[in-house]
Amino acid sequence: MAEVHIIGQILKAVDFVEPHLYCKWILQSGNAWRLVQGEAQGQTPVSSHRLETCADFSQPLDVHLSAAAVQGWPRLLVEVYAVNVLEQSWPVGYGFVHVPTQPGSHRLEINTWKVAPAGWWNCIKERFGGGGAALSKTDLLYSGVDRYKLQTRSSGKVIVDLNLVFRKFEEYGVEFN
Amino acid sequence: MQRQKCSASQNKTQRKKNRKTHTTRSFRKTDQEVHTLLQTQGRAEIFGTAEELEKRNLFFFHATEHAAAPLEHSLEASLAPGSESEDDSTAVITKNGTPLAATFIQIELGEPLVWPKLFCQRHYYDDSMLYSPSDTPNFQLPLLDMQLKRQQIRILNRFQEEAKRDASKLSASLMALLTELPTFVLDDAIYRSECDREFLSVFIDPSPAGQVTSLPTRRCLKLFFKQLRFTTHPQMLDEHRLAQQLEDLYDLYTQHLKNHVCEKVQQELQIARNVVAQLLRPDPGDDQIEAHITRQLRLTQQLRKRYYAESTLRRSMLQQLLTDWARLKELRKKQQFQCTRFQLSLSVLQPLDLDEACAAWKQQFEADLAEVYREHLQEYYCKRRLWSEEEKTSLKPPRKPQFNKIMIKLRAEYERAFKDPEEPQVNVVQVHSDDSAIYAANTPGSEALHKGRSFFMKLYFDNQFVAQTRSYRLEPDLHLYMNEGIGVLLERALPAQLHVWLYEKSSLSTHSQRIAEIIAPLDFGNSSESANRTDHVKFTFQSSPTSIFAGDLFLRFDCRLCEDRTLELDYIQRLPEVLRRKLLSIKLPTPSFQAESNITYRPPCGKQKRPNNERSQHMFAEQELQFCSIDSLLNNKRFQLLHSRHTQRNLHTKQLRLVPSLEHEIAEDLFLIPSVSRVLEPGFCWNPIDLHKHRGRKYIQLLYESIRSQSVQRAKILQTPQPLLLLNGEQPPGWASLWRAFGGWFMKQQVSRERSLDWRPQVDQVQHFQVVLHVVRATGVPVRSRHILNVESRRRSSSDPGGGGDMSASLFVTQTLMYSNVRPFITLSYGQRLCRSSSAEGSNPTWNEQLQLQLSGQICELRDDLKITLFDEMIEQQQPYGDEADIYQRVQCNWLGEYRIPMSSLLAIKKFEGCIELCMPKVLVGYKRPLIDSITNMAAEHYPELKESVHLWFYLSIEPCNYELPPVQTSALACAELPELQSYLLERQRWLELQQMKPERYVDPLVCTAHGKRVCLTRLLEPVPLPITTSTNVLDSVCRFVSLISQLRSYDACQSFQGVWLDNQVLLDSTWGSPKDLGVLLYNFMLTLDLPCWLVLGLACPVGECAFVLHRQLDSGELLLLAPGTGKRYSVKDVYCPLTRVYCVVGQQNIFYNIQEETRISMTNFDFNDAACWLPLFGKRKATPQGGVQKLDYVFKRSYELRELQKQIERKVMKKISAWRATRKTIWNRVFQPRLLSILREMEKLATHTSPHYDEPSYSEELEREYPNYRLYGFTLNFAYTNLAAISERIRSTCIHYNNNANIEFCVAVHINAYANDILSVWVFLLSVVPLIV
Repeated sequence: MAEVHIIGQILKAVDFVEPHLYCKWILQSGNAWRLVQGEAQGQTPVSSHRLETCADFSQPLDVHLSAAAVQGWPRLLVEVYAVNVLEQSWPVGYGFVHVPTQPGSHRLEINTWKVAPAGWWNCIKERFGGGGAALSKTDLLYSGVDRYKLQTRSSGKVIVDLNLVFRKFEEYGVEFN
Repeated sequence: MQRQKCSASQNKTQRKKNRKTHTTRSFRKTDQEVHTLLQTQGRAEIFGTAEELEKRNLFFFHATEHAAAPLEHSLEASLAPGSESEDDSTAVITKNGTPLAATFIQIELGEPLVWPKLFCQRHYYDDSMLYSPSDTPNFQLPLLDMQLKRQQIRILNRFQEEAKRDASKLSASLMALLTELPTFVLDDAIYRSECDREFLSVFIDPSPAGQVTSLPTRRCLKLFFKQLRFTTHPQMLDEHRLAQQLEDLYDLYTQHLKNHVCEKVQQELQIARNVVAQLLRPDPGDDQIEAHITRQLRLTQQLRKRYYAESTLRRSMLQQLLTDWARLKELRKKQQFQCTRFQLSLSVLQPLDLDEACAAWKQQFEADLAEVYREHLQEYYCKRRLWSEEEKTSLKPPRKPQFNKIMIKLRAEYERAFKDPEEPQVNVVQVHSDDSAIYAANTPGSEALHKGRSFFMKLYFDNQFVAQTRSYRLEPDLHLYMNEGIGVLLERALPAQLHVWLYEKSSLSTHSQRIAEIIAPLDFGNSSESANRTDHVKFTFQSSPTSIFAGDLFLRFDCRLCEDRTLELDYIQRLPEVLRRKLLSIKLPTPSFQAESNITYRPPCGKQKRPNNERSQHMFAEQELQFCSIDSLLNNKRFQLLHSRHTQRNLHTKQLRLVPSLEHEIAEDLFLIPSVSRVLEPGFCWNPIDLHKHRGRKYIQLLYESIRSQSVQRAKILQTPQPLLLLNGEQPPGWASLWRAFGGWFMKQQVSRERSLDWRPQVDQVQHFQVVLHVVRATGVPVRSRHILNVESRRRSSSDPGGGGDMSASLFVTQTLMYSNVRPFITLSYGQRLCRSSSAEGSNPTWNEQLQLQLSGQICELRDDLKITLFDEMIEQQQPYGDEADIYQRVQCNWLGEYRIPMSSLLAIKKFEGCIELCMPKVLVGYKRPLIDSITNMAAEHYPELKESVHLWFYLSIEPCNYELPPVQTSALACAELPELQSYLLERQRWLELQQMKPERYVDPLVCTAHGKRVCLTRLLEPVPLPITTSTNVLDSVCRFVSLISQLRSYDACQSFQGVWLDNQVLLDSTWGSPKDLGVLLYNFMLTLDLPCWLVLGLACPVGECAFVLHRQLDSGELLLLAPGTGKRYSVKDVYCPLTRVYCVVGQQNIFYNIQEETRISMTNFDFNDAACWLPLFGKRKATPQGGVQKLDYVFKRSYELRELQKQIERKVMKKISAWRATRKTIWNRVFQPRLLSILREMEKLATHTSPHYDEPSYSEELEREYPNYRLYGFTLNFAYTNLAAISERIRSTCIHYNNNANIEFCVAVHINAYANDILSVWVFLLSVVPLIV
């Protein structure tokens, strides 16, 4: 049984325009992968920083996966949401990153994008009142099928710290250097 | 011969030329016959019928060597002819002969059947093919006054060239437009929005799918124009004509040489001769062979003649060539100039070895001569025979052929056909003379020839203009050397004809003159051939009107399929028949084959397994790339362990701290542990009675648990506030109802909050308790018997002989002696904890002491009994050495009696006070009851309290008392009674409250049964079958029976009146119940006996809430209270009755609530008609619901075999006592046992039938009398059997094993009295024996 331990944290989100942010995350993997232990998805608290444009989440990740194939390597999908005073929230960033295929500690930056407002009215609404378009299906995050229809704006980054431990991959002829 | 074609077609074009006819037609015919024959045979052999085909397929798949072998042979047979004729083209098929499957695969891989792929050639991008108009004007512009822009020039160029293509001129207007106006131009001629080309659709006739060879597809046709030669021209000279003739002749000759016609014919001739020689060898006699020989001979003759003819032709051609060449040279020399390029170079080779050549010639000649001569002879003989047959009438007889003549004739032929051996061999090679020779000379017509004589050609496919060659100058030798290739891409439609128009370009005008039309048929050959490359073909033409011009055009076609990948689909190649059968049958197994495979087909040899086709067919690429299957991952032990820990479902893996990292370290049994813990320990043989008791208790506990949880659930549902808008159902919602709803909502919330405060979660917590016992006094403590006294007095008398006489002198002394010889003390114990009082003197001791016991534990776990035990402290003086100075005292405690209070009832009631009757052993050896007459002189009748029992006045309480069990909310359960009755009962409850009844006395008449339904209490009271019928006093037996049913000891709210009332079936089957259930059962038994009785619900001393039975004696009319737990009877007036409170009395007809102020039982008025004392629940207008709960046809079961149990108990007691007396020796005396057993046998009767009068059994004294030399101390114990542990606990609490006397011996006897349904009464006699005389 080849195993992968993913230990780390979703450190923070930086360079977002909106001050109060939280982040939903899913660790996704293929059919040949099974979750052994840990939470594969979750949501961080709403966080903000008084001085800098960053939101510290420090959301711990501790996932233990087992694999039967290299296909479907796990990836981390993040959706960053902003919250305003009225406790309304809307997505301000989508992004994903594949878990590195190298054991050890990694700091990953997930560049995120959001759906551009359609039309000037939506633009103004978004500028002044918040809100924004959301993806109807989250699989648009990673699949390339329908993405060409989207018009997006790039937004901030989510920084993730991961420590990876791989186990027994060498039994199946997979080596990590 | 499809197969041949298929496999060889790629080479075909290359080989076609080489494989020209080198056999005669007949030979080929026979050859083909053999081919077809063999092939058809082979096919018939292989694929005779469809079934056979399937069978072969089957064999093919499940193949073994021997199965495959015949197929292979036949295949080889079918393939062999092909390989014979086409030497290497089919070799691929038979190359890897042995395994058939391998050959099949080889075919597929090695030689693809679809060859367009093989012919894919690369096209390189070529800039030169692109058209781009030049920047400089390539024609003279008429207007040169203005400077044109580059774009303009380019566009002019372009249009000019476009016009040129159409053989028209650029129109002046357009030119003017383009040159003059720099503005935008809108002209249809320039800007064409649509393609003007018309596309012609291609109609394809429908044809069967198998015959569709291909659609006409895109082809690339390349036309190579080599040269054009005028054969008729105004400037034609003799030289030209001669040279052309020579040229043609040379071509013929080279063709002849190149094809090796002579050599091939010669070879065939040789073969034929050999065949003849072979045929002639065996003895001729057979007609067939003779006919064959004649045929063969004729063939030889023909071949020879042809050989001669060919050879003669070649020879004559060479001679002609040489003479013509000589003439041409002569002509050139004569006319002093040269205008043709033709030139021959001759090389003459002298024969190397003249003699050898001569010999060869001679040999050949002789052979031929002999043959010819033989032919002539044969002819002669034939003629002769014919002549002889014609009877020599008409003609002369044929003459015999003359050898000489024949020889001369043959020689003449030879001279014509073959060169003389001495003649040198001449090789002729054409050489083109260089241009200088031609142009240097000034030919007479050369000036005219050079001027403007240029020609070009236009190409038409089916009258459609395609292309145009460049214009070429006419050379002096009247040739147009073109060497131009034109590529035409043909889309779908293939033109049938090619028209080439020859134009002469005039230098004077722009118009060219059309001279001649050359029509050439276009043959694309077989479409299956990808490339069709022809040799140079000569097309002769003649200008039609004037016939001035005539000539030859040398062309070459090169037609091939375009290497467009996308067009491969259109190109469908039909498979050769053999291959198609094989391949298709493999890929598409017929349904019948599958059906056959379902009918268990067994491969003859197990070596080759049938490949799992389905699996290999349907396999995801994803699956293919996995390095282990998902199943193996899921079956991984470590994964399972980790996953089950993650899901937290399995009890055993839930708390797992450590999971081994390696699979083999994981223990196998980790998953084998069942989730439910085992009821029984393995390896221990359980007594069936034990099992019955155990299961019964478990069942009752489970029943309580399930009813409790059910009621909690129901209560929760009832507690949830009603939805606000329920009110719209009945009345229209108004403000008032809305307010009410709001109000109700808030009220509900408050109520629920209070309840949640009520509920204290302390039941599960460990708590500390302090049990306080205040012992005041006791009466009737048994005194030591005379026997013990005797012993002491004897010792005393022996030590002090003078002091014994006056002991019995006075009554007082006797009394004090008699009744103060006991030193009783009281202990309070729970489990192993114990607390004792000081010892008092005498039979009626007074302690007035407070005993405290610290306990801790969960409320639910406190299951044991709290024991108040009475001991006698006996001090023995010992003088082991007979020395006065050393006096040892040995203190021994003799158990006299005890009182057990279930901890649960103490927890429930929290305090007891008053007088209790200690439970004394029936037989207490060594002690005797104090006689009344020995105390007072009055009659025994006047002292009712001085009966056989020992009474103890005490006060017992437990602290703290802030715990509370959550009540069982059985009121939430469904009610089986009618709604009218329910409402009536509620009404009566309110009425009872109004009557100022004490609220604690109210017992809800709706009680919960074992079925989880609420019914009226009166329904429980029904006559049920009796366990004992054959008895003198059935009532006593029934009382005894009920008292032996075990009572649950756990502190459980279900045992209260609010809890669960068991029916007789559950109670008797499980043999466990609560005190109230016993009362109900006893009442029901008494109903069966038809005795007037009532069920009294109230509080009793040791057990709390319980039910007594009030019974009116038939003869005396006296009211008796029957305690179901002990089976004892008390008079209503009896102050020692354990019943302390009466709440209500339930009869079969009515329920009476006690509203008297008086709480004491002895003072209670039991006249139920007195409305001031008792309130009936049901009046006249409401009938009492009756019946329906108890099982009326209950059948009692017989008990199990008891002997084993009896032995087991005995063994257990002995073992335990030995174990408790850890360091001391335990001696078991068997002498007393039969005697003890005989006593025990009578005890049960004694215990059952209590006589109203006090008389002590005399067994104790009898024993003492029988064994005077022993000091005896012993007692009987009697209890209902639950399990062995309870017995040992009881014996331990008596402390009989604490005896330090060195000489002590023990004796135990066990007797069991069995009632129905495993309800057992166990009697144990324990005796300690100390021999007085050692």
